[in-house]
Amino acid sequence: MQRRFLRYLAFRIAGTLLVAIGILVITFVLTHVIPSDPARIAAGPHATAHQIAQARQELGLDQALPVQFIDFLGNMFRGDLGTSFVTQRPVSSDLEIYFPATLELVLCAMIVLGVAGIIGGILASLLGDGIGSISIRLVSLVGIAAPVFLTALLAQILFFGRLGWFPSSGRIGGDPPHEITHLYLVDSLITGNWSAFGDACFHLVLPVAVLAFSRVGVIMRLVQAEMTRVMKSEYIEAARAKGVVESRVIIRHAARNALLPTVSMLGMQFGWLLGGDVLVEAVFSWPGLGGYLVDSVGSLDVMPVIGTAVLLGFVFALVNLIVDIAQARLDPRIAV
Amino acid sequence: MIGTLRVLARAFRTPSGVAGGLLTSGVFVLAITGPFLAPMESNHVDLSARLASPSAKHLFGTDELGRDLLSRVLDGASRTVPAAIVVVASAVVIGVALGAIAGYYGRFIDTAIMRVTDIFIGYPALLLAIAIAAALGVGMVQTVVALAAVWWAGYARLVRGQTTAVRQLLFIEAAKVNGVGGARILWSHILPNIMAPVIVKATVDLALVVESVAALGFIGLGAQPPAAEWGSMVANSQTYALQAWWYPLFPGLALLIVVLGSNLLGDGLTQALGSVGHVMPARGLTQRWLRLRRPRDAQAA
Repeated sequence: MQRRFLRYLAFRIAGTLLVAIGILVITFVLTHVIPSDPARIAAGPHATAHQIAQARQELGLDQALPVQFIDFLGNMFRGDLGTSFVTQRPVSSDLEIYFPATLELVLCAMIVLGVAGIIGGILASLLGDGIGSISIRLVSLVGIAAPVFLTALLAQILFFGRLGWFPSSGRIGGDPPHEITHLYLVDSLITGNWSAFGDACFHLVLPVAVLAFSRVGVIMRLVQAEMTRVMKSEYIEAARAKGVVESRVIIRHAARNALLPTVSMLGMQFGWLLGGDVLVEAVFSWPGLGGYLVDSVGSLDVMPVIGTAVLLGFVFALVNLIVDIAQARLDPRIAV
Repeated sequence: MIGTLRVLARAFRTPSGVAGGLLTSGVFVLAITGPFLAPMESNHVDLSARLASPSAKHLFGTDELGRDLLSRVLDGASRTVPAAIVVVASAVVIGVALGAIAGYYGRFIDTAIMRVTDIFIGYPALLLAIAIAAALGVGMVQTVVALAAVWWAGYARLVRGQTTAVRQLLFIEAAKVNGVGGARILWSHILPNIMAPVIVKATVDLALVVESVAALGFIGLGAQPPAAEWGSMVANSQTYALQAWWYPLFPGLALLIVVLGSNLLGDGLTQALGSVGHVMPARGLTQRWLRLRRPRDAQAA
C-alpha cells in the first residue's frame, strides 16, 4: 500500500513537471515566436527605434531561436520574467508585491466555496427531491450563468452604493498591519491587531462572496448527488439498525464517503477561481495580480500580462498536485 | 448521424431542453437581425442625453456619450454570438481531428497528442486565453484565435476516449477486413458514431465561450471602442454604475440570457444522452450511452 502510494506520487509529480515544461514552452512561443517583433513587445508600444534596438540586444533576440530558448529557460529559472515598461521594474518583483493580496482573496473564496457548497449540498439532499433540489438548481444556474464581473458590479452597486454595508474597493481602510506574511488576515492575527483584522475581513466580504457564488452551484450539485447516493447504501442502513444516532450517521458515515469526489472537484474549481479572480479584482480595485494584469492590458504592457498568467498557471498546477495527493491519502483506492 | 438526431429529438422533450432551445434560437435570431431591429445607429452620440434612464425613447437608457443602449446591446449580439460560434467550431474541428487520430492510431501518436492536451487542460482556460490574446494584440479577431487555441483540448480528450471505445467494436473490425483505409474508417465509420457527445459539449461550451469573449472584452483585450461589445460595455459602465444602474445591467442581462439558454439546452441534451445526475463527467455518461446502444457487445464482454 505504501509502495503503491509512492509510485502514484512519483507519477503525479512527473505529470506536474510535464505541465510546468509545457507552460514554459507556451510562454516562449508567446513571447518570442508569435510576435512579429518581440523586441517591440518587450520595449512597449511607445518605445523609440533606439530603445527597441537596445531591447533586442539585451534580450538576445538577434540570436537563433534555439539559442533564445536556452536563454529564456535560464531567465525563467532565475525568476526573470522581463521588465514592465510602465512600472520600470522587473515583472517578477511586481508579481511579488501583488501576489499575497490575490492569494488571500482566492484562498478565502476557496474556503467559503467549500464550506457553503458542502453544507448546502448536504442540506439539499436531506430535504429530498422537492424545494431543496429546485433551489439548488436555481442557485447553481444563476451563479454559473451570471458573468462574474457582472455579479461583482451589481454587488458593489447594491451593498456599497444603496445599502452602504461594505466598502467598495481595496484591501483595508486604515493602516495595514505589520507585514510578516503579507496576508493581512494572518499578519493582523499574529500581531494581535484586532481593528486591522476586522477591517481586512470587512473588505474581503464582497469579493470573496462574489467569487464563491460563481462556482458554489457546481459543488452543491455534486455533494447533493453523492449524498443522495450514499444515503441509500446498505452500510447506512446497517448503522441505523445498530442504533447509531441519525446526526452521527449523516456526519461520520455518509458525509465522509460522499465528500471524497468533492475534494477533486474543489481542486478543479480552483482554476476557475483564479480566472474569475482577475475580473473580480478589477471591479473591486483589489491591489492584487488581477488589477495589475488589467492595468497592464490598458497600457499595452504585454510582459506583465504574460507573467501573471504564467505565475497563476504554475499555482494551479501545484494546487492540483496537492489536491490529488491529498485525495490519494484520503481514499487508498485511487493510488492503484 | 441517426444517433445524434435521436439525441436531439429526445432533448426537446425535456423541459430544460425546450426552454434552452427557445432561448438559444431567440438569441441566434437576434444576433442575425439585431442591427436591423436596432432603433438607432449604435454609435450615434447624443451628448444632450448622457446617462438617460430607461424611457420610451431609449428603452434601455443611454451611456455616458448618450448612445442608445438597446441598439448597442443588439449590435453586441451580432458581434459576440458569431465570434463564439467561430471559436467553438474551430475548437471542435481541431479537437475532434486530434482526438480521433490519437484514439484510433494509439501508441506514441496517442501519447504525444494527449500529453500536449494535458498541458492545455491543466492551465486555467481564461488565463491562458488572456496570455495568448496579449501576445497577439488587442482586437476581436485575436480574441477568437486565442480562445480557439485554448478550447480544442477538451474535445481532443473527449473524442479520444470515444474513439478508443468505438475502435474495438465489430463493425470496425469488419471494415478493416474489407480493406477500408484508416482515414476512411475514421471519417465514415467512427466519426458519425461519436458526434453526439461532442455536440452536447459544444452546446455547453457556447455559453462558456460567450462568457470568455465578454471577459476578454471586459479586461480590454477584445473589441476596441467604439465597437459595441457586452464585456467592454460593462467595463465602461463601472465609473457610472452607482448613478446609472441600467448601464451595466442590460449588457449583463444579455450575457446572462445567452449563457442561461445554452446551459439549459446543454442540460436537456445531457439528459437525453442518458444521464442520471446533472454533472457531466464526459467519460461516464458517454460510456453509459455507448452501452445503451450495443447491449449485445456488452453482454459478450
